[in-house]
Amino acid sequence: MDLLDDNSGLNLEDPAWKIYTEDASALPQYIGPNARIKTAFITQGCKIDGEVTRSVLFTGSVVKPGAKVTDTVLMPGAVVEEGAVVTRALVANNVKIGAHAVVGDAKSEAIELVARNVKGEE
Amino acid sequence: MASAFGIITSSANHIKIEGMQDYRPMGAFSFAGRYRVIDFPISNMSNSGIDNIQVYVRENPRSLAEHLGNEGAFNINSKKGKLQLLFSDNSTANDVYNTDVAGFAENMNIISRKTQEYVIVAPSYMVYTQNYNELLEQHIASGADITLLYHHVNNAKESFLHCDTLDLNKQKGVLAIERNTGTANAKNIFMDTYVMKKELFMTLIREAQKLSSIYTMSQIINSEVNDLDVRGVAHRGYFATVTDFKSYFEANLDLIDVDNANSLFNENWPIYTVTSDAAPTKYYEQAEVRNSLVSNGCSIKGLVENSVIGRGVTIEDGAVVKNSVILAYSRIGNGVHIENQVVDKWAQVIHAKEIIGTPEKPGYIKRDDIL
Repeated sequence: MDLLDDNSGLNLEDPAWKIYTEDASALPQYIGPNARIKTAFITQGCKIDGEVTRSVLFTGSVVKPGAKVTDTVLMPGAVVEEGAVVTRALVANNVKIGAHAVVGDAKSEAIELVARNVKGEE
Repeated sequence: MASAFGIITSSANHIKIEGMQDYRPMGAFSFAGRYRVIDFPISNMSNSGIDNIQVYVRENPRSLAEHLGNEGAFNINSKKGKLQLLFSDNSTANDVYNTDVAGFAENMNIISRKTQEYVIVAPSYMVYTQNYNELLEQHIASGADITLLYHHVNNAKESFLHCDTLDLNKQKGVLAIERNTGTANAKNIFMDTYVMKKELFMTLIREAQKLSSIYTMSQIINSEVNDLDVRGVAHRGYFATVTDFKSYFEANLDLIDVDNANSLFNENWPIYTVTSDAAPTKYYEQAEVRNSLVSNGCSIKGLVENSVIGRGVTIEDGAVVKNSVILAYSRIGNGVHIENQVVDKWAQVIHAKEIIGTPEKPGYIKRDDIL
């Protein structure tokens, strides 16, 4: 999350000092018509059609319309379904947060660790 | 399993994309932010088990040579397979001499030494996915001499105007191959994709050259439709041609539509490209991004709507980018308003505050330029 600050001290974009990584064969990020992104780090393969604020999204994260992701890290393949609200959380690989589920709390000190699918309200 | 090698042709000499083609061949054009157009035919071949691929290059070879030098990126078996770049010595006297057949004829020795029985020829300037192994099996099962891949469209009056069309009979036998002159909407657009035996391919090259120094492969086949069994096979799925500036602009923006993207990109049919290890894209507090495809390595502070953004692009405070294709490493400065443009690589638009085109006539900002 510190990386969201421009003065983090780590310049990821320095062409003279490339950070090599395993570059997944994924599409460019798809930002949908309902997307609202404010202060975020998003990488390829992501599909964003909801609200993302102060968050870091790994490869292949999906944020559906009406979903709100705030102060959160979504690990690769995490899916946040329609209308779900995820705050101050770390969502593990390929975990699905069901529609309209509420995860995490803005006022809580602790970061909510989500390692299993969260059932939504259909 | 029958064996085939692949040939990827460079663009036909009647097609020219002003501006962009000054710097690179069509196959090397950036597409959907992180790909080059040639990634599609190469990935199609690689995924179909065709590991021996010849890529013909007519002009400005540097970027294509660099891109394809990364053989490992395309999942081509390094022992069994081979990705060859073949250059043609362009005639400076008159561009009409620089045909696909001329390129093949120059490299005839290399073609004749291929051990595979069949050849699959695909263009470097059309975007589609196709399992060539299935196409080859269909070709062999049909007993045809030549199979041509086509795509049925209903907008041939305004689109695909530089493409060939197939005139088919009820059994999908090809009666003629003719240029699309925009006279009718319903047309079978020829995807410049051929399947035939290598021996026949070589015979046709020799015959074409005997008839006319500027005959193309489609022309020689057209002249022999009555003597050979030539069949059309329909293609389904996303299909776009990059045969003029406007079609390049539209093909990129079309992919923002999630249905088009899903019809072209499929987990089971990966499109390989040379990756750049770019950092994730940073969206700042004041960023407003909607309905767009964004590549990695970007830094976004402004407004982006309905656009395709390449790698490493900077969009500054107050900038507005709408309905545009912004190629890699370019920069849109503070308060700059861009609409309906293709901004080529490394360009910087900082002093000019308003560059607004129309969807019918999108504009082009030159590579490396500073506005």
